[in-house]
Amino acid sequence: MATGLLAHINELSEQDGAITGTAADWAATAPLDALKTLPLVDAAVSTRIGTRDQPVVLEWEWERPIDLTYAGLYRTNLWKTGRIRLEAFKTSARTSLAFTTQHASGIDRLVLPGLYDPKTLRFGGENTVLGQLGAREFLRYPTNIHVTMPLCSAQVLRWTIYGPAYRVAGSRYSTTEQAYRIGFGWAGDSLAFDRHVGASAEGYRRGGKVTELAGGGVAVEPGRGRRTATLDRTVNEAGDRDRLFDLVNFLDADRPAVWLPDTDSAFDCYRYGGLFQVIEDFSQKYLNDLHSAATISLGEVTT
Amino acid sequence: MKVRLVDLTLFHRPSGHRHRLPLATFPGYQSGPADSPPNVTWLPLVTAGADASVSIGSLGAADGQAELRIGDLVLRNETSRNPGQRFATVQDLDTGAWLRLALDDRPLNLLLTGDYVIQAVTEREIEDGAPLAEAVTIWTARVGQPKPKRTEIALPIYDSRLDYDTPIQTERYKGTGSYEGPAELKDTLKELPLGHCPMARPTYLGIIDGFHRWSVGGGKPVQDVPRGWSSGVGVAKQSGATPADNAHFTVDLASGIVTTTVKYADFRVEVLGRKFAGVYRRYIGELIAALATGAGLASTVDSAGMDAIPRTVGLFLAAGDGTTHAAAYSKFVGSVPRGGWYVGTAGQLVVTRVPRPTAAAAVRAYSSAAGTTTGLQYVEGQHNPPAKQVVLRCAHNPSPSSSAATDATAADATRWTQEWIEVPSATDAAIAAAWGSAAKVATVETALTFSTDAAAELPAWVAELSAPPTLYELPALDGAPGIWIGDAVTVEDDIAGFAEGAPVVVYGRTIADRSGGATLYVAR
Repeated sequence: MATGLLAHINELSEQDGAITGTAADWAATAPLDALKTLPLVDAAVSTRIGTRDQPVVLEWEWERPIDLTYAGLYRTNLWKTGRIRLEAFKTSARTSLAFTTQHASGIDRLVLPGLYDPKTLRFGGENTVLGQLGAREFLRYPTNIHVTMPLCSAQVLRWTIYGPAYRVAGSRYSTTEQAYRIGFGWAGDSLAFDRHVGASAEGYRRGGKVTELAGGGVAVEPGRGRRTATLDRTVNEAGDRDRLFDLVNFLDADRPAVWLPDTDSAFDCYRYGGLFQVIEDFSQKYLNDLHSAATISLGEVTT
Repeated sequence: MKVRLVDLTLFHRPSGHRHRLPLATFPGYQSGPADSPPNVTWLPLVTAGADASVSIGSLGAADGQAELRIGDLVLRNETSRNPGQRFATVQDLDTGAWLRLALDDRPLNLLLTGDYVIQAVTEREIEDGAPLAEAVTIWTARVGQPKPKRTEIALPIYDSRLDYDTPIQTERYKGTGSYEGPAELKDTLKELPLGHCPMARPTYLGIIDGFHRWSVGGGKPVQDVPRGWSSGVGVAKQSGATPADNAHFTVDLASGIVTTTVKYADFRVEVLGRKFAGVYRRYIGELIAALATGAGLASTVDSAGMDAIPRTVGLFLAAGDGTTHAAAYSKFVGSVPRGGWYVGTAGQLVVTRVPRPTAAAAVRAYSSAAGTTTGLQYVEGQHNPPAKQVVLRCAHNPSPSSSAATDATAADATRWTQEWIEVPSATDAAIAAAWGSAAKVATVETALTFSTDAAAELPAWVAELSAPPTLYELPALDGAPGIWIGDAVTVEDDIAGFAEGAPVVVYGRTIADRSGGATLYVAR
């Protein structure tokens, strides 16, 4: 299966990195510091929408450079035609780029980049031209931005955001929202994680409350479900075994982790990846002296 | 999905300001930039909506007390190992400013450290992601002392109605002589006439400036003192500062002081009571409104339901009486059938008559066939047979004597010795025949002053007590947002009387059932 990614140490919260932006750009009651902590509903809210010439910019800075292979923003309200740029600078002087998502020609990434499977596109649909996920599917999952990069050392990360933002109300949505919301931010190192065929699975735990009525009726109070992911490694070598054990130890029951099923497919990451928690106890079984098998069960963080 | 927004009103001791802490049930809520207030987060730290209910006593009885069940609001207080500092958005209600308050590892420790006193809670319900203006207020209540456990804090909540268990009389005699009474009266609560009191015993203050003085208004202005009796013999009112002889009295309406030439052995007066802000109040609704707003217990009072048909009541609180607001209001609203008082969802005091189901327009329909309710449940209780005759008692004479003086007229003597004026209804022959001796005579003691009012209320009382309502519990799976006491709903169910759908009136409800939805207490 494809190469996935599992990140467990969020340098932004663990090292309490400084988050800065133009003060006037962010609401006083929902400032940028809200990015460092869960709950996701406590989001940083901007006071304006960015445009290409005047984007909304925020920077994350640490005291010492961190090892960076993954950075992300969670529970945002950027519309799928919005654009994002991540620049990682090696030092706080912000002169030397370690990594940038901006294409050499100056084009920035779409919030949900890439061409969706052409076989699923219907001619005349609202996603025909850009070839993206349809609006319904886009709104069904939290709008998370994931950026993976080859290992680099960075002390400052700069996010540049511009484009439309949306707001959902019931079954309707509007793309004229005048503020960006970002619930949580993440930056740090990660494990390249290949799931093995076996018990690997994705799931969905239903939300909502079902009441069975006398006489056979069913009444359902809708709720919010959780996605689940089961990561099965049927054979681990000693190095992987150790890294997995460290990871599960660190996460315990409360810390969040990031899971991306396929770093090459933005659509898979959108649908099946995101912010998760370990939801079952962990054990690794030995196949022989050198190899072990383990399964990690993850459930989505929805709070 | 529905989110419950729970706003706690806190008193911040160090600054003396009131703060508002917005919390919510899962998944929390953040208002948008166009909402008011904008960009405020309601942190998802509430386990579930409060488990409380309120209802107006038992319909069909002369009791307007609202019953309430104390429930607990449970807040989450789990710690987090995330080193990032968490904040709560808190509003200073006295300045209007929004503050970002740094939270401890356990986010709600601020409620337990003693800097904050939790005063009240307002619960609203909103659809996840909807604009804040669409939130519906479910409940406003007072909060008791928090009960902390390691990972949660239980807040006992109770109806603001309990605020009314405070005495109406607040002023006391100083006992320094003159109009503040002799030393024996020191610290005794001053008397207070409410409404139109047919027979009241004034407080004797002694001889002041050569005449005997009696206080009937607690030192505050009264509307009028038209008549007096001394041991049953009528004493006439005279205008002027002092009376001419011992058959007359004068009264100073601005201070409620009655002046006589003689200290009568047993002196009573009829008094039209206290003026509230210069206006004489004696109808049930307006009197309760004046008492509540005057004592600062309610800022808005809705008495339109009760005073649509105004009835005059009277209650004389003698010196040292100490009757509470709640007890007095219950006497007043209990004078009319289905009368009741309660605190509404916006914190306003409502004094009303709960209508008959057919008299009110149904606001919603529930049907067990459609699945919007699991079905009506009968409520144990009112299983007394109907009354064949109703006797209303009015014009209360609080301490009647056994005899009047020899020169009292027949009218005065009757009034002097009788505790109540009774207004009976005709005996219902059909009920007497059907129930035989099981059907009794119901006697209702009211605070009404005039027998004409009692006679006018009599048919409604007869309707109430000869056909007492059947009480049910109606589980509303949608949580019945916005439905409150006095609303009527239509119910269709396959039990007796509801097969075709029938209206019922709501006389109480739970706020949020732990199993989801809410339960309405309805009467048919």
